[in-house]
Amino acid sequence: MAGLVCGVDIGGTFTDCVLIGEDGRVAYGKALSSPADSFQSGFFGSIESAGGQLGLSAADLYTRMDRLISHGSTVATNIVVERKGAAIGLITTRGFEDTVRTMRGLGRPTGEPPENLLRFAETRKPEPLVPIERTFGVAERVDSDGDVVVALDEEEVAAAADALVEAGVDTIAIAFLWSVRNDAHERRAREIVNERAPGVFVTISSEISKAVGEYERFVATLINSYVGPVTSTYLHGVQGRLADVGFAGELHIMQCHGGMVPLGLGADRPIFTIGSGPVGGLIGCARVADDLGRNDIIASDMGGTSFDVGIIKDGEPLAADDTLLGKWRYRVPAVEVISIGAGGGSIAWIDELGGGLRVGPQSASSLPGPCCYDRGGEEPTVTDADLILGYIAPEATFGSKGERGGFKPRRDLAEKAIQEKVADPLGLSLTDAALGIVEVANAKMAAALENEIIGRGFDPRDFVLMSYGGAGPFHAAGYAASLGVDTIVIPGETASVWSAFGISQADIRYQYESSVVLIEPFDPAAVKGAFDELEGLAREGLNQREDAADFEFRRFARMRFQWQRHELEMRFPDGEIDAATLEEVKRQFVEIYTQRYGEVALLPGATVEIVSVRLEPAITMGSENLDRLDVAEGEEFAKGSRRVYFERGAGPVDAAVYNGDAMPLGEVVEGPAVIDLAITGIVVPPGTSCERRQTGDFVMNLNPGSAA
Amino acid sequence: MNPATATERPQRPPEFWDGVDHAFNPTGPVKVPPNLTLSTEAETEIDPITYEVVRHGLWNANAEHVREIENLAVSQITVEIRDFQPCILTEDAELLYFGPCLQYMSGMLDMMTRYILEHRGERVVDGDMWLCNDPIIGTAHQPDVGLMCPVFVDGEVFCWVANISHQNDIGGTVPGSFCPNAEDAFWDPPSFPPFKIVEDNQIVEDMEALYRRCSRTPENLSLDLRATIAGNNAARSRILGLVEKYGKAVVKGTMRRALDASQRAFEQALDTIPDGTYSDRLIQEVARNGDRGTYPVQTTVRKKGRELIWDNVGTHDQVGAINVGFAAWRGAILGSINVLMLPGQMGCIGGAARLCKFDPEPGKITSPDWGAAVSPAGVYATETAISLGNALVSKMMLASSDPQMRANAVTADGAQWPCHFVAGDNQRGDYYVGGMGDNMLGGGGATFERDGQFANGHFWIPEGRGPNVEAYEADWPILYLFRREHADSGGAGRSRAGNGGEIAYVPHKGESFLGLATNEGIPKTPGLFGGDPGSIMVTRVIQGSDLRARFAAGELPQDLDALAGSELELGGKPDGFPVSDDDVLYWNWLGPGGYGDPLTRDPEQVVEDVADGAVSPQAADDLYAVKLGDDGTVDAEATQKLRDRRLLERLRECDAEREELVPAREPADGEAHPIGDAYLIDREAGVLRCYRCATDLGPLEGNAKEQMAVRERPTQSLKPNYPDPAQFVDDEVVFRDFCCPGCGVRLATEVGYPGEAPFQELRLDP
Repeated sequence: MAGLVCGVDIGGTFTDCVLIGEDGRVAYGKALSSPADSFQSGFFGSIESAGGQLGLSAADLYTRMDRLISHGSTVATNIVVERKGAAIGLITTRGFEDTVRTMRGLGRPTGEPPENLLRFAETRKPEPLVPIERTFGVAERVDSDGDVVVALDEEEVAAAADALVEAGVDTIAIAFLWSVRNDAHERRAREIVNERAPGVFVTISSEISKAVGEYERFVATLINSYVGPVTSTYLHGVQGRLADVGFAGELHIMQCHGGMVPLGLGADRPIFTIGSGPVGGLIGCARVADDLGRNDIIASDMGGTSFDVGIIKDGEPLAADDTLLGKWRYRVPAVEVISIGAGGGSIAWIDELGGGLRVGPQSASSLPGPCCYDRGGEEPTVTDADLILGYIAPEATFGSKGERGGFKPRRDLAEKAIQEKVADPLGLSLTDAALGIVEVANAKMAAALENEIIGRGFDPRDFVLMSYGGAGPFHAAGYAASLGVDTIVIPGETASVWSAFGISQADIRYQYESSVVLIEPFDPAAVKGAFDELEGLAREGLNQREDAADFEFRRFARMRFQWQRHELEMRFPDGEIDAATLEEVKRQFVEIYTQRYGEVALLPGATVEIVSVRLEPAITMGSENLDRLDVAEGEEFAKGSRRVYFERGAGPVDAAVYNGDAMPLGEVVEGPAVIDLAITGIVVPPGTSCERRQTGDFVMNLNPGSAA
Repeated sequence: MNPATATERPQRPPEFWDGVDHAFNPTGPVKVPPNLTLSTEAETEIDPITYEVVRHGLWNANAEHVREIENLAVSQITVEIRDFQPCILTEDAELLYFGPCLQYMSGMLDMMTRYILEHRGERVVDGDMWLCNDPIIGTAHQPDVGLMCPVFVDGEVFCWVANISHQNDIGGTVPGSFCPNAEDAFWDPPSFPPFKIVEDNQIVEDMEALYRRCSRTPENLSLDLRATIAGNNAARSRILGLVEKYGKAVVKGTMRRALDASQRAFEQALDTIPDGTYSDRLIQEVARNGDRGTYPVQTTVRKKGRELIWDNVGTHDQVGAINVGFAAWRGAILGSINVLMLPGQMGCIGGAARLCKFDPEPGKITSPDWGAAVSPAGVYATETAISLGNALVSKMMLASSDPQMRANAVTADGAQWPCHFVAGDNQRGDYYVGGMGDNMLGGGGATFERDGQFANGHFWIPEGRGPNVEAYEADWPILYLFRREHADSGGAGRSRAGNGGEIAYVPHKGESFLGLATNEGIPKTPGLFGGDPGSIMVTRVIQGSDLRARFAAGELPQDLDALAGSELELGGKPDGFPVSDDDVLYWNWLGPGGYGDPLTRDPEQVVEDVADGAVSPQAADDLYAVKLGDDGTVDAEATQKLRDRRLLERLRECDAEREELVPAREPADGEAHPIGDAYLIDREAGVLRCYRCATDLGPLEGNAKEQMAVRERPTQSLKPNYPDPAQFVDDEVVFRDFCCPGCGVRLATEVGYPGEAPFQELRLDP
């Protein structure tokens, strides 16, 4: 009998928790995040609050818990973005001390919106993560075959470690060229550093990334070092207290590659928690779509400042080529989540020369925020437009209880800003100006989605779109329609704790990866050898687990045509590897390549290459028979109507308004309508409909005439 | 400035610029054959929201085009250096959107497209694409291959999508297709005027076979061709989607309006810039292997109201292999305008191009007639064009009355493209051509208020990406010894340019033939308003070194001078030669030019520079004259004294000795218009003044340099390790400092021939 399952998501402001009861019932809780006590009171507060919903006391709660998964992605991310990380020292291959400072010549544009790409004088490279005076080159050199060209000078490593200790570093990163082909020097250097500097957090690059390409691997190593001490302290602190309160299991940590690993493995590699929150959201989407019988999903999370997009194809989130964090790009196994600077806070302005209405990339962020927040914002934003158009309920409460006790939007301030800064200069009515802001914002988001979907060779019409985040469901119909998507899913009440929900549904998953040079004609023995080596490592790593036998091993390979720089990751078949297997893998690669890029992109006879292999031992978790439904009782479903605007030039529509929390299962609402929800609202335009499914989720059909 | 620039020059009939014997440089409206109809219906009343949605959609179509090529292309130079560029053009070949890739290509795609309209128009039909790499028509050199695709709506040419991409190898005498030994176009790779490579959406197999025959790496050529076809297809399909949704008149109306907006943005910028003539010149050297000549290259712009006329008068006749197709010279200028002056237009450059006239002299290095070798342009002549275009645009911007415009001016980027090309069989026995793109890491130019940064890329390749050492070592049989910041290489100045870098490597486990190596004797990258020039290219080859023995002994040598072996003496543009596992090769990439007199640099910044290793202690003393106290901090008083003494010495060396320096003035509000912080434009008196001390430098229309104190010195006095140019060339070449006769501060620098009249870089209309 399964016990309680718990997912915790420590965010910048709130810590969210989702508890899945033994009977599949889903409860959730929130508490303020608490950096002051290493996030502990927020962590335990959120769990206990959720436990309360299930009627469990704190004493019962932890002992009945079967599985507890957490992530602290925001913790680690904020450390990097705010530049509050540890003092790092770097030991690297002599002659390459400047590698991380070069940023591949891309430090200036990296992380900038497209609008800034040409602003050469106005944008700068950031300060490096490790200053040059704390970077030590040592004699050692391995070549691309993994052969040692120059032996490791151990005395130099010791001297560097001593100097770094003297300089007062908290952590030491060790990153050598070609350690992905031969990690002996890095491992030996770590031993030496551990002897000379006991207690200092040490990271070696070959354990963080197996990717060829030193810049991205070195950066990953540095970021791991940078966030290591703080993350490690809080994780171990939480684990210690969990033991005190009776939790018998091991805390698992959500990873950016979409699986969870036990703390023992995760604590040394906190970089893998970065981005795991949004990835948790994607896992939640996969789960919901699975319930709907759909495998291809565009997950879109529109908040105040950013629009995050993930793609699930055939039930699997797409792997990222690399990860962008602030101004840094690095390469570790990760699920792709693309963040675009568009959200409720995006500012509308007029391009004086072209006479166009533009939205973003400037954002009012959360402070001052949109004008209607009454925090001093004076620039019109998307959220201000949403309010004027009737999408946001006039009686809505913004901000959760933690901040200012929740506050009501000021429509007058929104009106003033849009009237003066958009409507008057363009000669538009107030509502047409607001509709224009929404239309432009939607078009930009649709274009961003289009790039991601079509840019990968997919057809958006095959996808169902999931929309969440505070601003998403107001706009989903708008940005989905132009893509040809016909179904939009808005998660029900758990939307406010969506990442925590997804985390609770994550699989246990380890990653073993290796970069290889395997070129056609493939040698089956060599390919098998590459996977066997990974499997050996994996078996060794899983040895300590009682459930080691339960793991399924999934194989992947990154493939390309020889000399290309961009690869496709392919699922590699299980079982024996012989010439026929490889022929089949190649056939599939060519087929997918052609599907994505068209017949014309294919050069018959071109040589295919495998550049890396990956093994993913996994145990599928997830909960059966989820009951996420929590229809509010005693509340009226229909709330009457209000004036809502959908089309420029047309007047307001008297749209029906509903209380989403009280919407009965199976109920279908025809547009025009607005379904108000706790943290957002679903705009149901004329000609579309929205149904509440048995799971409690809302499913919008943009073409009700056709079969859904 | 050659006085001829401003006077009457032979006027040539439009048909002179035919793209056959002379560069294609069309003027006036596009001439289209009667059977081809251009779709011109354009809505003029588009509401601001629809306009923005469609405009963004067009921009995005081009962004998608970039991505498609990135995903599929194979040439390292294309993928890593972003040496490609997609664009959308109007039906009559005006550049609408242009990506954040290689910028000088901006002046090439519209030329090639227009040529197709005017000379192949009868055969332009839906579903076809045209390939062209002919430098006389529209490329810098033959490895740049353009692929132009008409987009038809209702049987009419609605617009074009096109791209250009640099191919790894397309033939010629040297692997990699940069042929520094070329005597003429027939040593270069073949030049193809436009032909159809795609008909009815299918690759024309016999034409592809012909195209592949010229390359040492035909499979690469074919894969890149497919990548670029897919890119055009993607962009075309996005545009047709917009047409379907909004109608062709609205999409066309949006194109027109975006172009008009870009024109207005440029007009507004020009309105802040004083009319006059802005010019710069550098001295190119060694036309090909074995040559010892020097060759001036000059670009001038006459700015009058809202018109700019660009010429290359003063540039040497086409010679050897140091030429570049006219379209790239034009593109170098448009690219500088696009990034430096109009970054907010996001690549919509066609409107600005309307205000630029290009008035080159034919048969010159930057506008050669057919027959000139151009294949190594990407290493030599293209960068001279970019560096000069950059310098001129920045000078105009520094003269602007708009503070933001002044702040965005950036000193000239490297006037050459240092690199090595190695080729042979790699560690796996596969044939490879390794064009080393480490220079892509770059060194950012300075603005008048702020230093450039090491490895900050190149302004004209905004998203260019430097290579990983591991990526090169994985495919090429080489092993790097180091890749690091090259101290003191950024041009010294009041604002210092970002440093370039330096690398050393050794052939390893394979076969390497060094096909192309870059070195020179004459500094070419201009400094701005008293800044030092950028650094020079150096290649070193230590043959028969003891490196392998040192490796075995556990050493990883970092100093080439400490190695045993013999250093090869290399002339300019050496012929290729094989290199072995015991040969150590070194090359550096350039730092841009500096801005302003180094003696006016904030001493605290110099101390930081030294601490960071960006500036050597010797340069801190020689160039910046900073005195430190016992505690290692700046001794402000001693530094000032030392600097004053140096300024007085300098004036004495210029035969302009004075007892004491004219004191610096207090800048006042509402004062005369500055040019950077070098000059003041005093309209009332009709003179140019020194910004620092207000000394009169003569009439606005005169040559201020003639009023300045000047001294001439050897170029090798600029840096301790600079070679004597006599090692490379026969002509004597010198460096000149031009200083304010009042305060001694250096306001201009130039590299020139001894005893010649000062080069006029600035002449304002009175």
